[in-house]
Amino acid sequence: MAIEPALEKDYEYFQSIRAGLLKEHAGKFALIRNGEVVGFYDTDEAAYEEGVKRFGNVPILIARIELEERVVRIPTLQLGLLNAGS
Amino acid sequence: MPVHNWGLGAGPGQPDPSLLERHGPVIPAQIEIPTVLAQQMQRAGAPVPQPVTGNALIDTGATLSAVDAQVLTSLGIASTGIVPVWTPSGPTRQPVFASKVAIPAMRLVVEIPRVLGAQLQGAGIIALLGRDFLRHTLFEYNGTLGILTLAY
Repeated sequence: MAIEPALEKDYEYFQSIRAGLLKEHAGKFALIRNGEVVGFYDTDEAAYEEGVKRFGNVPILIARIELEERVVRIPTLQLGLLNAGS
Repeated sequence: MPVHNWGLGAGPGQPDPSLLERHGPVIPAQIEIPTVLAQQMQRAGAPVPQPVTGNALIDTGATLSAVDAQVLTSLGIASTGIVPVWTPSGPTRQPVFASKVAIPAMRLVVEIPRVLGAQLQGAGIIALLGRDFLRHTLFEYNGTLGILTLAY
């Protein structure tokens, strides 16, 4: 699915400040919208709840503050294994 | 602890291990908008999109769950982030979405803060349930008897 340009911008912004956030907010989830950090939360769910309360159903960036981003692995999809052999 | 068993077969009580081997751990599921979003829509007097029902494949190899892109579009859920996704040619970035997965047969509801959108309907499923879903459950794949068990 396509990434909305505003979300892409917020993602780039987060990448630019991530190292600086590590000192005080490592392990937390940052909520970012329109190039501003709205807050830091203990869980994904708490960040999402705040995002929906403040902005409604619009693209928001929720990102975990950690040294390296976790790469998602779904071999079934990425290797085209759905229905393989059927 | 609610426990539910599924067995693909010719009839009730007649699970067929070869069908489980062929189709994999597929269970009836429902994809909905997250509870917090539904509540906000209700407060605003906006119509809440109806859940989408279909089959979901349990995938212990997936770190993250995926929902069919058409389902996400029909529910109108806005994206909540970007994640790097591994592919054979290197990582790519993809948007993620909050969603709610329900297993009606056992009244299990799991709010998942980030799922990927993927083209799944060609495979006859609406969702791929990964380890982010499974962390809320106990899951048993009994290939010998052709039975799946889910508990929480």
